[in-house]
Amino acid sequence: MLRLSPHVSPVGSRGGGEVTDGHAESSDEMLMVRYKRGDRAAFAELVRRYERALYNFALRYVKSRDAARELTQEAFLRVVRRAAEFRHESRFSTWVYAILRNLCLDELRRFKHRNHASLDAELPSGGALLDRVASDTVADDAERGVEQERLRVGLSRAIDALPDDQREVFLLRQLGGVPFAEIAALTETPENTVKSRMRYALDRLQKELCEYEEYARALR
Amino acid sequence: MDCERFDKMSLDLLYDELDELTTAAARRHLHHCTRCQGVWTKLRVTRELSSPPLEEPPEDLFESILLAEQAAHKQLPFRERFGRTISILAGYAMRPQLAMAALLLLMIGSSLVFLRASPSGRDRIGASERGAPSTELVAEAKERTALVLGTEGNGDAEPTATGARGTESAAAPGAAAEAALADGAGTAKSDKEGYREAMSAYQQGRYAEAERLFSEVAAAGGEKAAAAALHEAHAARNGSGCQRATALYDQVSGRYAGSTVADEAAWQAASCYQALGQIARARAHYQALAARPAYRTRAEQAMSALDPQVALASKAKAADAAEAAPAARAGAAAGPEEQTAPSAGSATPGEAKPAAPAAAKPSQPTTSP
Repeated sequence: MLRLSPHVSPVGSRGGGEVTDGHAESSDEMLMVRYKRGDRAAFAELVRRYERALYNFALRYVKSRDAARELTQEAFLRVVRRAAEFRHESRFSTWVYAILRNLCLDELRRFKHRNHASLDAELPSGGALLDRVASDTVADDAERGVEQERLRVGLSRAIDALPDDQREVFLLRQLGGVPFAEIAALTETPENTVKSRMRYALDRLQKELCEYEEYARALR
Repeated sequence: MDCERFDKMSLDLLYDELDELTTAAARRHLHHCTRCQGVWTKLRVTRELSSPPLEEPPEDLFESILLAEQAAHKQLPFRERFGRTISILAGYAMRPQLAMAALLLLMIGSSLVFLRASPSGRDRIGASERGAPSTELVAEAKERTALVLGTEGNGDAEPTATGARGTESAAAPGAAAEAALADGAGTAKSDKEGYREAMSAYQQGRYAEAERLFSEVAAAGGEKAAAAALHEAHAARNGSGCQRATALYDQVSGRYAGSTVADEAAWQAASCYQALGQIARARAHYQALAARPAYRTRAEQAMSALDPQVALASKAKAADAAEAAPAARAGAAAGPEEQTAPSAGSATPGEAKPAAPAAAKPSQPTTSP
């Protein structure tokens, strides 16, 4: 069984990673075509490219590791079941993010009724996930400055603090690499509205980052 | 580009979604606009620093996805699995090598079909260089027609005559073809038609053809046989001269003895002999004709006319002998070769050499079919 490398591009398309089966130079769409023709190694390459990005997208959306894991797996299973529906009219990344987004929305709807354990609540100690990520990162990489770690934690908090519509656009564009036009298509929103949400999101993050020395240094 | 427009497209520029020309225009605007430079720098730094930190997915996620895919693949409906199998096979089938092989087989197959559809012998059409139907094809057509008519009980074609026509048609393909077609239709040409055709050729000066046609009519027998034989001799005389015609005249005279045709043939033979200088034979024919009331007067006049010719011939013979005596003596003195050389004017006794070549070909006899 192939094992993916942890160094996978968050965007996915022609992402990096260790290549073992000669599919590295193929586009996502070509891999999908090959999978439809029975090449299961092509599907493994797609999973390798998108697993990390999709998992983090779902994690930011539903704020639960278990739910993000299940949703990521379910998104790939829907790719398998709906492979015949895939056309070259859109990019694979747009298609798979649309699938995952719908799954996340369904999960959030169910969460309201099931009183799902929140992302913050499931953390055993140390506060919220982002705090733990930040503390882990600090522990692992002691050479980085305290200021830089504060920036990362602050950024995570700022992203989580974004309104849902702005955070969704921000994640799709910044994390998923989905163009604005395709975000507009999959969210069924005018493109100008998408861009406005993105601009508001960047403005908010900019204000949050202003207090950090790292940001000021970059501006200089 | 102004600042307002730059603000509108700054996000697209930030995420590289602009075309090259617009990107270049925005870069030029940034180069000299301090206000937009500040806005752009903040956007760029925010984007660079705001990439969300990524958490590593669970280690078993990859394997579990592939296992789930394997299970899901088995649970796919048969129709979809069958479709994927067909798609896999089609992927191989649509490769260029297989496509070219299929095209080649198609071309070979279609060529064989077209080659088999060549025209049959029944529909074969040929034409000679003269624009008339080929004799071979006409003969084939005639045979087919004869077979058809024979099965219907109306076949009265004459194979022998047809064979003769086929041979003759080599000389005159057009006429032969017409004749063959006519024979094939079961309408044999009558003696009168043959005689009329021969007479037409004779009157048009085609003596060789007329002689052949008259010979056919004469050989076939019938009402016009005697007249045809006589005109065959006329045609021979007009075409080849008296030397050949005298034999034919004598044949006619002997074959139809006692008839007017025989008398006319004898008269023409006599005149030919006379023209050839064979006076004795001419006289014999005139004497025979003198017994016939219709030719008595003319025969006697002709015989009387022969006497001066005989005298002239005798005088010429004596003069030749007189000239030959001194020459023989001189020749004996000169050598034996010249003595043995015959004189050019020597003739057989009783026969006179024609005075001129025109005399050897008497005037054309009147023909009355």
